[in-house]
Amino acid sequence: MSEQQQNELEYEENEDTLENKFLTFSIGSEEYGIEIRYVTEIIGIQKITVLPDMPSYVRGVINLRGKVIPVIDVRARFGIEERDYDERTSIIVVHLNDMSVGLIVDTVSEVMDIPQSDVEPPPRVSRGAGSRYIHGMGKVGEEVKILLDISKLLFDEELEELQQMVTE
Amino acid sequence: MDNEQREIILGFVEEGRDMIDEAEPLLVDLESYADHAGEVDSEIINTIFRLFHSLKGGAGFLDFSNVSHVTHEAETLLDLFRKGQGRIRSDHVDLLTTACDFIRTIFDQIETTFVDTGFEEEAEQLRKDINEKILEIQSGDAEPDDDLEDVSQQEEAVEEEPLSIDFGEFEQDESEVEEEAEVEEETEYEEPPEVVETKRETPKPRIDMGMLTQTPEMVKAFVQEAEELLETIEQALLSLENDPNNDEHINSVFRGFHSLKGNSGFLGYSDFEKLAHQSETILDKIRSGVAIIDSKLLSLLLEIIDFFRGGLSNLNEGRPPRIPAASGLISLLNDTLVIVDSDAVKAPEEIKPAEKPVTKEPAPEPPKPAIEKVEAKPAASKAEVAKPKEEPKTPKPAPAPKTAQKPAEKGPAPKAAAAQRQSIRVDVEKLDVLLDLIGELVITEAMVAQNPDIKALNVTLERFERSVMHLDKLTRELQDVATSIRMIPLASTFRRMIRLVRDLSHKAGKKVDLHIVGEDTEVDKTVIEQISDPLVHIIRNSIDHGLETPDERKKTEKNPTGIVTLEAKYVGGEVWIEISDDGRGLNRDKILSRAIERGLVKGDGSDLRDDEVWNIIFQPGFSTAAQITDISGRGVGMDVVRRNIENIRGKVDVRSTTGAGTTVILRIPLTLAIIDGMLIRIDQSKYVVPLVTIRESFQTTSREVTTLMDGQEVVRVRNDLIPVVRLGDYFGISNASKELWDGILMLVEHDGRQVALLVDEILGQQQVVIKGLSDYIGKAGDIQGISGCTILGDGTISLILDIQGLIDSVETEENSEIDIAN
Repeated sequence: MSEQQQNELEYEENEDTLENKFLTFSIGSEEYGIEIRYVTEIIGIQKITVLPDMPSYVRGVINLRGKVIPVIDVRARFGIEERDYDERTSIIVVHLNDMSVGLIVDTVSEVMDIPQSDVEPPPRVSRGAGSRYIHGMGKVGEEVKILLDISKLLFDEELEELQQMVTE
Repeated sequence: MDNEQREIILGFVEEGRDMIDEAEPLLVDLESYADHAGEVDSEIINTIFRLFHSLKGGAGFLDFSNVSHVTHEAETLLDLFRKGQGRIRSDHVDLLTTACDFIRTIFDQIETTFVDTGFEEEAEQLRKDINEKILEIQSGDAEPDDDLEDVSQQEEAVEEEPLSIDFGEFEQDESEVEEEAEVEEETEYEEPPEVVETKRETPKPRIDMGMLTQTPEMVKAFVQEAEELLETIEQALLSLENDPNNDEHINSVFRGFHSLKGNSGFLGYSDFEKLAHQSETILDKIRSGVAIIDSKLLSLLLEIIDFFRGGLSNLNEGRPPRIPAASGLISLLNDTLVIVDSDAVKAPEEIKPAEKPVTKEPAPEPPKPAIEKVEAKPAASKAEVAKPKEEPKTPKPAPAPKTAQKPAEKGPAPKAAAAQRQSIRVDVEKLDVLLDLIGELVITEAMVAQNPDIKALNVTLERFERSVMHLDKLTRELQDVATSIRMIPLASTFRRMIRLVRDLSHKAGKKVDLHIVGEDTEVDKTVIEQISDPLVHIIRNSIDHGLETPDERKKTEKNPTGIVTLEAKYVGGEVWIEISDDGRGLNRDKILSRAIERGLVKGDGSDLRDDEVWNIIFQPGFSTAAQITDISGRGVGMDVVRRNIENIRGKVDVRSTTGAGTTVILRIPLTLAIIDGMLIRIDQSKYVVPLVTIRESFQTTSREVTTLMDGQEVVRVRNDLIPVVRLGDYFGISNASKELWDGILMLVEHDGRQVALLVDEILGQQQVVIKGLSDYIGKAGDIQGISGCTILGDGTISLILDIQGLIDSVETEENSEIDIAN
């Protein structure tokens, strides 16, 4: 087997492992996870420039080394009661669809492997604003992490919300 | 295919597009000659011919046979016109413009797939069509009335060729000359397809002694140098076409071939050496006045350049340095050479022989014996080649031509200097990166200059300040230069409209003159990309709806030929592109009734100003209604126009006078990336107001403020009543100044409309780099009142106010006749 092929295989393996790796963070008492391959970096809370006429969860824009990127508050996105930012508040910068967006979370926890076999489909009973962003439930030992569908988290039903805003 | 090859192909496509763009308007020009009894402006036709020739050369070199076949055929057709052998008709121009379109289509494909296959059928069809015309013209030559033309053609030839010769004893029947010329031509033009074929063949291995000692570096150096030499020769040859007596150019061609010969001899590339040698010999004869240079020889030499290039590409790809059909070319060279007759040499004056009807065609007899000689002994010295032809004559340079060249020498000097201005093609992406970097530099400079650490020192830093000022000056200069690099003249965009106008006027059955003014005006590349579509829409509207039919125009005592003017100029900090016609103008009543029908306007609209009515045509969806031709005004695609122009922060104005015409003005800001702004503070937030919009800042008193019933505050400034925008409220933060007279009012204006902004503090003037808000948030402009943002020296993001949007938001509240939300 040529070296190149070997490298390719390793690379594929890497991809595989990336797919089962999740960055977990907490909001309130729950732990959430997002796929690590979308995460570019984690930074502390920054000065946010507020934009007018935005959905409530879009907090504004921050300056990330000369790049202007929008930040959304995951609490507000889930419709969970807001709280003040503190020194543990973090911004997870994710890159998707050719754009970078910052996610404001209470605390970033760790990176962990959650194999596909340990992921359960989201419960059907769940109601509430946040549940439509759930990709699955990851079982880690005794705990359960709520795995998020990042694409839905960022883009889903934005229109609806915007329309709500207009009608308000 | 490696990257280098890809780049070469992309370069060819890019250049080819430029050439087509250049050729097309000229073709339309030609058509106007067709209307005037077919007299041809040789300048124009030569230029088109050259363009097609270069295109053919490039395509042949890269093996794009479909392109080269079509261009070859077009070139042949053009050559007939060039020689005055046929009259240009509309259908010829149609065919040639179709060829242009066809080549463009192929280019589009080449750009992605790097091959031009798949167009064989169309290419063949086009070739056939063009060939038909060629045959038609050639057979038409026998017609009696062509004699007249022949004479005029020859007179023209004489004008072009002051060095022409008196045929003396070789004088023969004109028709014979004609025939001869045709035969010549066929041989000359049959060549290129042959080349393509030879190229396809797998080259036979050849053993060259010289090749054994070569290193790849040597070959590479040779190829590089040869390419440069060929470039120089080509340029000089093209200049010779306009100025055949120019010693400088002839020498430069001679020197070029000479160096090429030397280099190839050194490496043992015999094909190169022989061909270069023969070309050099010819040039030497021309240089010494023994032979003259004519357009036919020039074309041949140009073609030889292409063959050299073909040989170089063989070399580049590791094939033997073979030049296809080299020996044939050498004999052709001799065939084409026109030898100065002894009579002419003896003749004391230049003018006398020139007045006689002499053709540009080569003397048919004398060169013939020379061919065999040259073929048999290609390396023959120039004296040997010259002798058989010159035997009865004096081989000395003709004195007359020499003196004739003298005055011509002075002219070209500045030209040569101009030719030294070189340019390179740069990937636009690199330019974008450069501009981005300079943007970052401007920000960083502000970060350094206004660094809080330095301020905290609280001492006077005279030398530091001076250095900062110097740095500031340099960054501004750097920014100016970088911006200017991206500036492109509008000429090519404008010229493309010539073709459009031609096609549209034919289709609409209207006579239209297009006037172009200020095509040298330069704008940013992004602007060029954004205005092309709008221009097409506006011009289409002008011709379709704006201009009347010739009959209608006669009734209103207008010139039956309508005029569309395309003008570009700098006005203040903007570029204005005006498209005006002298047609019937917009019809206020019809626009209004349609708008009321569609619910765009409430009431009868009689209180709307004219410009407000004209603005209705930009409403999306309004265009479809206007397509039903009962509205005489514009409409089709006008929302596209507005959107494109707003993308580049521009504005569209419409002015119209019933019966006298319509003018659409595209107003585009000069700089797109960096603006001068005024930094203001509202509570804790900082905003940037574009400096150009600020009229004045003032403080007011309670006496001058009036509050309307709906809460809108109006402040009196001298004799004007200006609405106030509380920026704090607008952006959802609260102004620290609760009352208007506590804060500062900043009077801003856009397009003649003014508002006063309530701000807490004015922080100072600053250059800011415009950054778009993320795509996630939407394009700038989606948030009303914000045009973008910038990063300040302290790293915080500051929003840039969109004054137009702010004013709109106030005015739509005030004046809701036009329901834009719909």
